[in-house]
Amino acid sequence: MLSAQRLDENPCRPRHFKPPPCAPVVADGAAAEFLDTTRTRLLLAAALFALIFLVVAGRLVDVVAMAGAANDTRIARSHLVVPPPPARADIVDRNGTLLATNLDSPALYVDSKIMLQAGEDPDAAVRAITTALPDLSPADIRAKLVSGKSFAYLTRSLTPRQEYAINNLGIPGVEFEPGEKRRYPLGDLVAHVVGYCSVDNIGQAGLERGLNPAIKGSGKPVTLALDARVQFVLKDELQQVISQFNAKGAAGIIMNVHTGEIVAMASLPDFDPNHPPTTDPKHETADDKDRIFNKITSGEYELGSVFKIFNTAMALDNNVATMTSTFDARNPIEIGRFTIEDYHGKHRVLSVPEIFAYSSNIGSARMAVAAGPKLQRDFLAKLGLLDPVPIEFDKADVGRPHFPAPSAWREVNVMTIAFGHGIAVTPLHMITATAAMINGGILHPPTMLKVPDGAKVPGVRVISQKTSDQIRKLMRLVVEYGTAKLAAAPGYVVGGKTGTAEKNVGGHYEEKRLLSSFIGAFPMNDPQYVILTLVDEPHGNKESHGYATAGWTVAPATSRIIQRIAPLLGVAPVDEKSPDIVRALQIESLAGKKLEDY
Amino acid sequence: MKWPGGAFWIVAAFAAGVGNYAVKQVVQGLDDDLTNVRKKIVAEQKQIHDLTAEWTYLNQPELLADLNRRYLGLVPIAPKQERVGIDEIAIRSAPAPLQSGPEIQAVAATAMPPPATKMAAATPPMMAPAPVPAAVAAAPPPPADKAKPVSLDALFAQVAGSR
Repeated sequence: MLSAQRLDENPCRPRHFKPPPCAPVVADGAAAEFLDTTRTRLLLAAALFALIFLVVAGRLVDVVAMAGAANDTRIARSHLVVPPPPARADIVDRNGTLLATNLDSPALYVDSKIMLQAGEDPDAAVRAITTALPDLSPADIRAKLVSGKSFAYLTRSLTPRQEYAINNLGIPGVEFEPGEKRRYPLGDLVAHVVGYCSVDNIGQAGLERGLNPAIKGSGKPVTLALDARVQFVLKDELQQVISQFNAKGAAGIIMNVHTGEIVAMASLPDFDPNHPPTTDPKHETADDKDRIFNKITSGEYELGSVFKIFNTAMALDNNVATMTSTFDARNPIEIGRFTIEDYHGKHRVLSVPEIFAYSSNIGSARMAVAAGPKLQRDFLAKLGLLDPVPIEFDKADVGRPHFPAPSAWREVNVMTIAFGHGIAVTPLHMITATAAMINGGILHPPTMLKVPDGAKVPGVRVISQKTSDQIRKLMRLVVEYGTAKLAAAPGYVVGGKTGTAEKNVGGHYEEKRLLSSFIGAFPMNDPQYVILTLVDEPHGNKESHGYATAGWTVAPATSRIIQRIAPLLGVAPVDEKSPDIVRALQIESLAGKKLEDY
Repeated sequence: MKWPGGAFWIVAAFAAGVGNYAVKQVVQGLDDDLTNVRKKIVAEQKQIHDLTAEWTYLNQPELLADLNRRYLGLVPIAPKQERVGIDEIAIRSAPAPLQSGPEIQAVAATAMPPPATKMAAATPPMMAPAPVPAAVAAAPPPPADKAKPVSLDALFAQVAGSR
């Protein structure tokens, strides 16, 4: 009140001016107390702010002067520059060799409006573009350049060199559109395994189709069980068989018997996945169809005598026969309109090992009849031979077996199925079931993907260890004395079974059109890998004395394949005459006896 | 607020501000560097990826087999070449010292395994010391010349010794 009064008392003060009090007026004790409280609060707030500023300053000193928390990478991590994930992940083989990858491949388009506005001479532009891209048709390009449309593709993919050349031309309106293209550096080597993609990067065949979601989604490379080197050997030898025997085609597959990993798979003729044949029904030729067809997964064949492996295993495992049992193979069997004969008949009573080694149809048929249709059917079902094989390929690419309906599974079917006729399965079925016959009796589902070291592999027991041992001995016998002597590879203890089937064309079997196959494994005392090779319609030649049977065509090829791939797969050769190996593969009933030559 | 206290806080705030600004500048610079390096890494990774594809393309087994047929004539390993594993091959024992006199040379020859002796025999001018006069032989042997190994065996021994 005091100061206000003093101002009021100023005589010179203009009448209209009444300044406000410039300091709080303390009227009484209560007001003074209130002011004190406020001052304390202000002080507290100031202290708090001071503290905060001190913390900031302290942190600054810490960061700058003492390099505090050097490992704190929160800030650095917050905005990483990462390449955009590829539209499709790479596919690599078991050793990391690139099988399929996406490469930058820009598309070239023309904005005709811009080009014409810029006053560019279309003819000069056409000449320049065709010099850089000689594959394009000049008339076609010209039409697009003068169309007046604002967008027209000239080509959908350019190599870096082409891109550079076109960019150097500097034609206004000729632009690049970023894009990726699926490339297969190994070309036709892995055509049927990897398959190919459409222009829009969608898998169309092989694993590109079967694993499409995994390849599109993850961005991480997909590692296959395949070994590109082994694949090359397989394909090379199959190619030789085709040219040697003037065959229509051939196919082969190599599997690890303990893991079900497929280390090689080839089907000839094949194609270059970088330029796949058309599948458009309007333009597709028979040759296109043939090349794009994977015989291993999609081909359903009556494979013939190789089926005797399963027939014999069924008889031995179910105590229908023992290794010393004998069956009458003196005369052909007449049943219905069929006559079952032996190719090289011995015309006598044969023991089980003899039936297997000489590949006697009569003996096998009698063995199967002794087992009966139910046992046969159940056994084949247990081996997975009556269902599509579970594998990473698309369902549409995996063949369905053909076999008689249960009600129509009569004695004649039992007999023919014993030697692999009247039932059609894919080679993939054949190799999967055979692996189970020799690996100790466990059926593993086949896989195209690499099984990590030490991973547990799923499997079910289908035959006993004892039966498996016996099958090993029988398969070794075939190579030592039977139909597949040419499959022997010194040091690798090869065993196997031949099959020469007449092709069923329009309901009847054609004697001259054969499907010769051989399924072999090595080393037979401790099998590691099993190989199935087949050749479609081979023709005998001078070296094979006119024969086109499996023993003369694919068996020698298997021998060559094994000798070439064993060092790659880390299988060391052994002394085949060493007592341990001889003992492990000796058939007791034949001890001391020598089988007559086939 | 009293003068010294206020001055302290003004100076402190100013210092903190300047410090903050300086650090921010440095961090921004580092951040730019980091982004640049990362961009380079990404570009390089892309290039490596393209080159891997090209390398695989150029290393197609078919092509290599053809080149081998034309220029090298290599053949697959025969089983008989694989009878002995690489681990089973004995390491050759060290050869005799080069400067040795005749009597040490004789001892070394008996101690060497047969292949080594064969090798030594195959290179007589290198290994066998030239006949020396008795007076020179009696003198202390000259130090071995480390820069000039005289035979392959000696070279191996020298390398093994230097490890």
